[in-house]
Amino acid sequence: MSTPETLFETSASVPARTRLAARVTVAAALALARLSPAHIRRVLVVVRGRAGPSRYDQAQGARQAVVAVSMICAGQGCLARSIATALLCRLGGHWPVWRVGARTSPFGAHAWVEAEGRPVEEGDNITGFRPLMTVTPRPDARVSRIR
Amino acid sequence: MNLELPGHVSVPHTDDGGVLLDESTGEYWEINQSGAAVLRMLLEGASEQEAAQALIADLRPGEISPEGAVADIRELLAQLRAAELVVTS
Repeated sequence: MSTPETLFETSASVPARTRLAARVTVAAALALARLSPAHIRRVLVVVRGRAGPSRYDQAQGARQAVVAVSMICAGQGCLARSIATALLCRLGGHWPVWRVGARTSPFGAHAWVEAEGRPVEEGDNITGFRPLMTVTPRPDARVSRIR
Repeated sequence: MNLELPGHVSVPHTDDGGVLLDESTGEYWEINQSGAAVLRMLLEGASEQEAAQALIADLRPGEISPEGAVADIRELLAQLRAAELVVTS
């Protein structure tokens, strides 16, 4: 879990415009996180639309912005954090792989995003989680490149 | 009898068991290694007898009788049905 110190440090490095967009997506994510998993998935598939995959640095930037503006997303609110990160990516015209998964012994459930085949800003513990629900980028899209 | 997962249930295959997620309610259900192996076989169309034989083969000799294995599998199925995690088509 993040400490207040790292939270403020991250907050200072996120541009004002990105912070504003992140606040909007966090508000939407907190509302969405109250719905059933099936309902969340349906909404995310519609929101994703035709968006192609996020690069790792894009998804990482989105996650850092979300964590910078929301105590819940900085803490234990992995579902809201993952949704907000994906929504913020979508505002940038791309989509990460959004996942909900679980592990056994001990039981745990988690939500996270992946880009370029890697979980974004997750610790080593993530390897124990097996995906149960996934919303991928548009299947036929290619990774966009920096010009 | 064909056993199926309803559309709102997803199961990952884990090394040490499994978790079923009911996507309509958000409830998670844990299933142990033997239960997950049995469920996988039944979903693939195996009979209760075939699943029982596989269950016995996975355990130490004499740990469970053929009758006990079948009874365990029926109990598992009853629990899964009661929780609406499987349907029979």
